[in-house]
Amino acid sequence: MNSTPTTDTELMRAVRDGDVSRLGVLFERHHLRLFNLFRRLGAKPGSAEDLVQEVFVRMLKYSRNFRDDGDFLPWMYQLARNVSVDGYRKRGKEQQQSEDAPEIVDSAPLAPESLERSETERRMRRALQSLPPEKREVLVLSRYQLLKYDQIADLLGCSVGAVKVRVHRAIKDLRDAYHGDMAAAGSAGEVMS
Amino acid sequence: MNCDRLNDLLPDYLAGTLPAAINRELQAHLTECSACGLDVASLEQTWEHMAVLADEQPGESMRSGFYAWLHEAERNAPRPALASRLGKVLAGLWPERPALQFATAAAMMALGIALGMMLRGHPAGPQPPRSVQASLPPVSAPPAVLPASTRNTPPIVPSNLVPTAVEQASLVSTTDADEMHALREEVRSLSHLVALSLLRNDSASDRLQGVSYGREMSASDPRVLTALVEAANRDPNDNVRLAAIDALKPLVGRREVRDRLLHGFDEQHSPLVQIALVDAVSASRDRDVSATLRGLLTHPKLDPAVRQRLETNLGARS
Repeated sequence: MNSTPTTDTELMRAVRDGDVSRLGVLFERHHLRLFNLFRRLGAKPGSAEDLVQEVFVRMLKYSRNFRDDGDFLPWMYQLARNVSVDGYRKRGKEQQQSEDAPEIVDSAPLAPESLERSETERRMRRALQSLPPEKREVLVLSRYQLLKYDQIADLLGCSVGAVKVRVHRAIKDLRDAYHGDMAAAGSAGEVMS
Repeated sequence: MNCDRLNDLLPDYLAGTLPAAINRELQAHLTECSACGLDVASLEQTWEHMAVLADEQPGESMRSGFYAWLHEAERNAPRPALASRLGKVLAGLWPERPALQFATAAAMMALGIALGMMLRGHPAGPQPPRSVQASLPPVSAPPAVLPASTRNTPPIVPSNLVPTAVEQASLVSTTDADEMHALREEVRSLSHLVALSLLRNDSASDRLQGVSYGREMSASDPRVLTALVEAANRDPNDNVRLAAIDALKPLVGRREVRDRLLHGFDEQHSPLVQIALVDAVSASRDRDVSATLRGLLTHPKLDPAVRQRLETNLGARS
């Protein structure tokens, strides 16, 4: 007998064949992953939520393009990537830059270790946002989304070698930005004291 | 290993995907080359520090917004095409057991061959088969002007033996009716096979579907009838038993059906199923049913609810 679809790919096929409700299962499985993808690519929380929803809207809109032998995850990432690019264009660079700016954090007092972690987190976020989008993208996909280099190459439409070169350059730029920020923070602290 | 080679391998080293042997080579180079050692150490530290950006949780409004949209999308979604729905129904009928799959496939092939043979006899619309065509002159109207040589020629076949157009049409339609009958029989046989396959399936929902299919055929097919009685008496699922009893209700007027159902009364452990059985048997107007029902009242360990129903039904019959 035909069984209930369980894998992402089976669920997406069911959506394509008219069972729209299956999109809910895919949402539960992947919304967090997509939300954090957009957040680390630089979207503010509210925008990231809108972008996640847009990915699912497009999943339904383009469900006919999902092939029988298709693999769901690369297809979803491709949609997410397009949504991100379109969102960037739509919102305009100015707004994007304002999103890139450091967020206002809660000013409630923190324990020393939390304070240190919060500061490290802020510096890392700032350093990541300082990278050009194409470098930031490969780092986010490999380090946070845990995609393999060949999967990233498929997604970006380039060779695996090109992805590795880009990752290498990106991590070096991130290190410089991160340590530069640390050094600046250190010297500022010295001046203050 | 040299410094250039190390740079090439660095992305895989950071991702932890280097093969063990190459990883050892790289580590050896890092201890030998202090410049590379310092460089890689700082890159590794940055890579590790990236973990401080932990996963964040979106607001609950995202979920509610998504489901509001999904609900709307479901309402507006076009119904799947008929072919797609039919495909799903047929896929649902496909049995799991290889033996039953083979049997179903064989039956489908037989049906296909029968259809193919029939259609070969009908190259353009409904026409009589070749054997009939060969024995009959063409039905089309004779030419308005006959050739002079034939105008006064007597017909080779006596006119009273040549079928008229109406008779020919009748012959053709009789043949078609026979073929349609044969086709119906094939389809019926296939439906029986599907019903029997479903009734033997491991899944209770499939067996329920089998009961539903078998309901129409039980009166005419003893195999389906036996399978339904078997389901009513022994199916591990009470819902299937209830459905089978309900399907057999119109047939309890037949003594053998009634007896076989009552024979399984001892094996019914659910009072609900026993009550359904009592109700089904009570539906028969046969006189000996009352005696049978009274006999059930003497059953040891009879559930009070079943006893009450038996007494009610007996009261209604008297």
